[in-house]
Amino acid sequence: MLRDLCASLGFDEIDAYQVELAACEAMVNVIRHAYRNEPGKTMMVGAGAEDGRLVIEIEDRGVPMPAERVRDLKEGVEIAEVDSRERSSLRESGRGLQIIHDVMDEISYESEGGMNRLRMGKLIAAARREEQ
Amino acid sequence: MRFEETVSGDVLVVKVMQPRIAADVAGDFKKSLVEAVSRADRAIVLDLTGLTFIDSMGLGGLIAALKALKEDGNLVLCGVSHSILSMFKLTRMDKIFRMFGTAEEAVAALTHDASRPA
Repeated sequence: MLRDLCASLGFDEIDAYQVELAACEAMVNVIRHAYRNEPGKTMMVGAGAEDGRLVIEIEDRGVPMPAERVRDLKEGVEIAEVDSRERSSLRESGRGLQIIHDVMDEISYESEGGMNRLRMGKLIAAARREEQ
Repeated sequence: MRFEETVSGDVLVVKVMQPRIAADVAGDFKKSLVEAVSRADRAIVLDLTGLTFIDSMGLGGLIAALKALKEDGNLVLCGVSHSILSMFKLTRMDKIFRMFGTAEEAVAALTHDASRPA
């Protein structure tokens, strides 16, 4: 469904995949961290076009994201240079926030009254060209 | 997790038969792939032709497989779509995983590598 929305907004195949990837990473973070893998919890996910952007909102009622993770989300995570000969030191997880930051153009996170809301926006191509 | 395995000389080619590797199947994917890597003699080609989506947990499974290789082992990928390649580039994992267009090209490269004098 999200890929269809991306296609209708003129995103190319790679951008559409990356948007789906960012959304997936965000939802998995809710399951694993906000809800600590507890079954039976719900999250609300919405997506639509707004002001020249594709906007995705994810709401949950779990544990709020810690401040340092919100910072990673908004400011990015520095990626250490990797050496293919040092494969034993490669991390198997923990790349989700970096992916979301690098894919999406705008990110906000609020936590209030027991509700956490992550809002991610990506400029539609025409809007991206205007802003350049 | 559905894999199709073929042996070409000393190279094990493992083709992933499902189009999506996301968080819901990532654990199974990691376990199955690490088990296949453990069985391979030295060189393994993971054929991702037909894979349309993989997330960072799926990538974690690939990394686990890389770490499970024997010391002189080799794991390479083939059939990676432009979209999925972009995920490898986002995470800098394109510098870690060697990639080829087809399984035949990958097998040829690994076979050539193995035949070179040390």
